[in-house]
Amino acid sequence: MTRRVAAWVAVPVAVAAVLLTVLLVTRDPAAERRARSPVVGGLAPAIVGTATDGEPFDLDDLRGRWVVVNFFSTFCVPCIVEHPELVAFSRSHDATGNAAVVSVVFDDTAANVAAFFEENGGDWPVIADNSGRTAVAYGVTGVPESYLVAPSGLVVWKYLGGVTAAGLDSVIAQFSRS
Amino acid sequence: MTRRAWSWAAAAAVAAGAYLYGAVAPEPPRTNADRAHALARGFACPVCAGQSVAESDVPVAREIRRQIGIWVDEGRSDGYIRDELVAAYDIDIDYNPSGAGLTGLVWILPVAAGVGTAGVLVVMFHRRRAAAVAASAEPIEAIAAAGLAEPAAEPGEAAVAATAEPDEAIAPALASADKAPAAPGRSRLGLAVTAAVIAVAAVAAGVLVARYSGSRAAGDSITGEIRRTSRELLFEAQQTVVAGDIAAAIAIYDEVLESRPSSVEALTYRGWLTARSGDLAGAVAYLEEAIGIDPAYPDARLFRSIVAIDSGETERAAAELALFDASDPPDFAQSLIDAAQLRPRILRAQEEEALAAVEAERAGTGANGAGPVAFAATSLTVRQVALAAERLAAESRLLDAVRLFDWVLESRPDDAEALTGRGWLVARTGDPELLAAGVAHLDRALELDPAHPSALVYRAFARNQQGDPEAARADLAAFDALETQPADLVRLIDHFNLRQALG
Repeated sequence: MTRRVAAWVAVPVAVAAVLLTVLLVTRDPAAERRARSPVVGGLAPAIVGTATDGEPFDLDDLRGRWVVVNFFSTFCVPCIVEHPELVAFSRSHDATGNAAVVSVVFDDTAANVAAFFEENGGDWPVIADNSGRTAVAYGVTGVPESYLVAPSGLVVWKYLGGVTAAGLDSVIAQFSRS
Repeated sequence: MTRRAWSWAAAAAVAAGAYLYGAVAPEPPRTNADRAHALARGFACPVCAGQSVAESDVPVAREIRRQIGIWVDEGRSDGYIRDELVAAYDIDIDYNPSGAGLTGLVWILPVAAGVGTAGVLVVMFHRRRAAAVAASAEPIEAIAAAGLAEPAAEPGEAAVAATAEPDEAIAPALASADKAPAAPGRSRLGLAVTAAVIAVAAVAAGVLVARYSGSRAAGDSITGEIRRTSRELLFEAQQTVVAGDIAAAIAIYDEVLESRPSSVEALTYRGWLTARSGDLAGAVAYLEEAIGIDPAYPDARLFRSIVAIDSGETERAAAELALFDASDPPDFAQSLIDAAQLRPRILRAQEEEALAAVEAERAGTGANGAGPVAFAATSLTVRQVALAAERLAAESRLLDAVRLFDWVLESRPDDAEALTGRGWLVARTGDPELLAAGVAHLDRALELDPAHPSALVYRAFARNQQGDPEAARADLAAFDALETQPADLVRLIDHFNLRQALG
């Protein structure tokens, strides 16, 4: 192979390699992108159905209030740790009524959930999500995971892991000021 | 190689190419399960390293697989499913990068590099070939140059030779060369090459056919096992249930659910068979999942009602049965309801619960404190009292039952429901005096509420009993003219053949 032919082969290959390298280098690391969610900033996916207490539930009925959509399961230790914080958050907003909590069961049974709430308290709506549709619509990757929905119906925050009442109030205050 | 050998080789190459294309070309999915699985393979598990949704068994992957199955069963397009998952989990979930924007370079660059390399190779070979042709032409040109230098024997012969050459001179030689037997060594080589190509093509064809036509195990037909569709499996499961082999039917439903987790029919009947096996809690899980996916599926409502009454959940059983009645029930359902004694069991449970509540309230042990209380001071409903009275009547405590209604009427003398209940209670005894008293109460109820369906039907029975079919027919006609006819009253009329009795 002459030098000229070698150059003909090498040039396009080199150009392709350089462009691919630039493409890969300029992208965010995958781990960082997973921490974000395309759901944040958009209208909260619908949650419509019957709560475990038999009452009909529609997330849109809570429009005008801050809503913490909490995905959990009873066998998840961080969920158990987080639960008192949700109870405290819910109680602290009972008087003003400006915020609410709704829990969505992730990969768990109704009996477990009923026993869990009886033992740990909490009187907010709990949705069974038997088909998994709600969890997938929110892009849930594990539990506990929570989404803060603004009074406008937009998702403004995604929490990976447990939440705290103070943390939720802080974010609500931050958005309320802005 | 001869032309014939080349022809065989070309045919074999075409066949091999066709098989190869068949092997690598995307195969359309055979079933919904195939399509769901193929889709799941194209999405990354959001929390795993290097595993697809199809491969991973973490909960989120299972949820996504289940949701993909539901979307596929709903007939959603691949594009819709991709958009939904990307909207929820970002573009990273998609193993197949889109062709738009900067990401499109992932598709474009390899193709561009391939095309560029191929172009360079074509140019390179073209130049080498041109150089070889030029080199081989040099001796001929030298000979031609030498021939032109020789003098012609005759001027006319030179002209004829120039016009006849080259075709006429070469054609006989080519023909004889074609007809002449090939050299023994070359013939054997061509035959061996042809045989090898055919053998390779045949083996490749066999392998590919075996691989893509289905897996064939010992005892299977020669065409391989053809995968049964979910519909066929569900039909087979039904036949197995009819044959009484519950364990085998459960196994078949599990097979369906493995490929179609959102199959409402499979979930429903898996739940029902689980209940028949004695595992009520397990049955509830299946049935609740089926109802969650399709709340209008009547079979699931019926089975859930039966499981609820077996579990002591009377109100849930009644609610599910009401939803079943409001749907479009299948024909087999009535015989199943009769066999399970579902309606009488629910009614009896409701009556017993109502009687317990009434007795607790009347005895002063209810929520409203001690001592005899007026009906209006309790939290009871007339419906509860009516159910309690029916239970007392069923236990031959007719007088206690009448007293219950009188207790209500003391507080609410113009309650059509209580008047109707009391009237029917005494009218159906058949005693002429009580019959007349009962009709009087029913008359009063209908004065207060002329469209009261129970009062109309009960009075039709009573008037027919009194020998006044004309008046009974009028009541029945008024009942038929109502906008809706309660199902329990319709069943009562049919059960006692009232229409036939009235002609």
